[in-house]
Amino acid sequence: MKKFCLYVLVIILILIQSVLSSAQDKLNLSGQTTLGYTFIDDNGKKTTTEEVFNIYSGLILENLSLQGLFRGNSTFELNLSSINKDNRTLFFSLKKPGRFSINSRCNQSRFLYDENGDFKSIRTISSVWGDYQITPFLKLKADYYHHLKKYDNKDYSVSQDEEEEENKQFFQSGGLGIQLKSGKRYLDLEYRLRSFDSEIKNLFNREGSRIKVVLNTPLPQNVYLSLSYLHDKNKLKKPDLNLTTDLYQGTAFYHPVKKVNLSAKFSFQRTEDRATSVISDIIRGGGEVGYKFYPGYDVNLGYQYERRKENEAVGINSYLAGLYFQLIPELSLKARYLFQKGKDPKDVTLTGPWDNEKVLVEVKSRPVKEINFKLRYEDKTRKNPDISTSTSDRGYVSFVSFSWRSWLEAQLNYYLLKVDCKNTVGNFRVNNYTLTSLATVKPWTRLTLSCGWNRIDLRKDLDIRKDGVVVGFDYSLRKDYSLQGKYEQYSYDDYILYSNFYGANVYRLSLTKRFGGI
Amino acid sequence: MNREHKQVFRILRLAVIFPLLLFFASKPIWSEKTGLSPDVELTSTCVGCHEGVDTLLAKTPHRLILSSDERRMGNSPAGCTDCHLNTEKHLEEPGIGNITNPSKVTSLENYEICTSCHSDPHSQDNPVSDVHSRNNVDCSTCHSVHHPKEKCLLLSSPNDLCLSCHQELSGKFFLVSHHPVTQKTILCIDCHKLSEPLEEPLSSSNINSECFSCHAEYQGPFPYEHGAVNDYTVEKEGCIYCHDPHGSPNPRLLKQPVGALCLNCHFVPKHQTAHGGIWAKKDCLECHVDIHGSYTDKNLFGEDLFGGSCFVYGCHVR
Repeated sequence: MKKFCLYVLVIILILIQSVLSSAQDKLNLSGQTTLGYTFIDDNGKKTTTEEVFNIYSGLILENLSLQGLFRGNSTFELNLSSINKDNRTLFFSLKKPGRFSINSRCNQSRFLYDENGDFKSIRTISSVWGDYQITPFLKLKADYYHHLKKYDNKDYSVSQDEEEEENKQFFQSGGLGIQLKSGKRYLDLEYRLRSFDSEIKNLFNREGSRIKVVLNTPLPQNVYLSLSYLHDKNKLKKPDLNLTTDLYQGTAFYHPVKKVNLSAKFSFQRTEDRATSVISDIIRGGGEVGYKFYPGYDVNLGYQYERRKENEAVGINSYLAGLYFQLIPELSLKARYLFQKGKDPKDVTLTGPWDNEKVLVEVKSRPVKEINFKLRYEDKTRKNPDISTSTSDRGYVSFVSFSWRSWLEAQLNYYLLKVDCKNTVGNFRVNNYTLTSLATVKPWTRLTLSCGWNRIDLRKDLDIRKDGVVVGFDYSLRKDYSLQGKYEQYSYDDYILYSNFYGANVYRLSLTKRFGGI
Repeated sequence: MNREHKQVFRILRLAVIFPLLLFFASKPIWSEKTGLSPDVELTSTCVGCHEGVDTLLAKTPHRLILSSDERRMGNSPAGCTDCHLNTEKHLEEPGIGNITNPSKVTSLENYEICTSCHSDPHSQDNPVSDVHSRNNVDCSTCHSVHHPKEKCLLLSSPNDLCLSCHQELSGKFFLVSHHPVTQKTILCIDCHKLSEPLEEPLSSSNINSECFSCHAEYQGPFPYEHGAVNDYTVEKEGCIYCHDPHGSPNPRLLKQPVGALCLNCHFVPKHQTAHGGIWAKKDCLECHVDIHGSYTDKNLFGEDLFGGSCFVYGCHVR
């Protein structure tokens, strides 16, 4: 993988060199580089705290960014960040506005599965995408995406020979597209190939393709139409198993008068398993009416039906009602109610018929210029009476932000969530509150101070406390230099499973040098 | 160097070299012939009063064209008056109220101004159907032409912008198991595509396809499927039926602990009696290993199980 990253880096450096040397126009360069040192002191089970999975003690190239602007408005950008032992991020782009662009991104990160870090996966995502505008109406697009997951553990190995063990999974996807555009008319055609190879279990190996066509167009009499077709194939490489999906979608919008808008949607999806000849059909249709009876006062009503057919029909009816009132410029109210009823007359599903309900009420206000606040209540319930199962999520959000001129910004977010799940055997209940806060102070031009505190508290069937504290500063030493420092503290305590605890102190110090005048 | 690396290099070479040749061989499509050039004289008049605007925009894709020479160089085709409409009165009697300020008009008007040039699917989201537009979140809520702070003229980093409205999610990304969004390993827009118009909130055909772009090993097709995994079957919702993609207090983003989650749909009385004693604390997934789908067994048992005591002593027959 190191060779691969080096290869990509060399290509990019050659590209930059070739752009710089061949550019006849004047070039303005700017950028910044940040070099830092990180020290982590931790104790306990690291897998409990995902925030520290990619933190290592030692030197780190936190950021190297370079932007170039040619006189003809062509640009290039190179950005390297978080370069240390197992993780890195790289971004490169070259653009000629109105004609051409190419972009590339590579990101590598680590995920831990055990406390010692012996069992981990390294995930590398690389992608290249670009487009070329042939005429004002016609654009070509291309992209390539590759995702490599490498598991560092012998349990995942299929080979008995340790030296030759292969624990990789490799997914890649490449697409070509044509986009035609004239005014607000738009036609998009895309062809995509993808494949997945696993060295852990080669039965997983498969390949697929996709054709997609999207047409959006305005029509006379304030009508807007969108049509799309998608053909998707998935095939296992070893067993003879094919899955084919065809999806047709159509949407229309109509403004008969300024205050009223109507929309209608329809879709048909057919998935066919060639091996068993089983066909699954999904038909959806619905409509929505919106009425603006006064500027800032909207109401809307909607209905959608869905039929799922695989041997026997399953039917779903959904109803929606919503309103948005801008009571005064500083105060708005939003409310939505969704009710869904699923029918399963022949007991095709294991869950039987079901009822879903969602309620949302939100009040936003800005009483004075410096203060914003938001209150939100949401309630989601799902009931399956035939199997005596129900789930309920009830959440309350309160958010306040405060800003004073340009030197103080603070925000506080409190989120209370009550989860209550019942089934025939028992219950699972969790009351969970989350508090996140962040404040930034700029006592004078050269210095910025920031601090934040996050707390998660889980009660009832779980008893977990998790805290995160961050304190930092940014001080401008001279015109082009600045010094940053940050202290982060994480703690995790499980009061039911006492072995699940973790504490970490992370210290970071970095120096940034800016250059260039644009 | 192994097979997949060679394949990647071949594609990378093509993907980089071919467009690079096009880059040097091409000129921007907007030229004096296309009639898309901005009004240079009017733009210069604006800059005459609004000092510093040209310097401010020089760092952005909306760099102003102030002379015919510059126009030939292929600068942005947008001038001041392409966004700030209704200039006649303002030219006669300069004032704040008699010219269009795109950040202070209605969502629909804001949309009309921006999409007169920007024609990609993201900017073409219909102002009536799009959930953001319906909630008065328009182009200028996230983008700023004059005072951008991030790439793509964004007012803040992409994740921060999303979380500034969706505050209930910022806590979820701090839960025990979560997608690494706050660590910026992935972005909100990696899953919530903004470039696919008039479609479901996540993707074109189904929600699962977004999950499978990273977690491809669970896609199948499988000879023995777990119905809840597939959103094309009579079950519904796919991956998010069991997993909460933003964050969860349970491992692997599960909405409930494993046993409780399975019991939501599967009430199997025999498991409670025959699997008493030392088996009572067993998680469902200890036997039903291939829970996303199996190539070998209709009960989604792991292959290793068949060599164990479950099938040897006659309790279970394969």
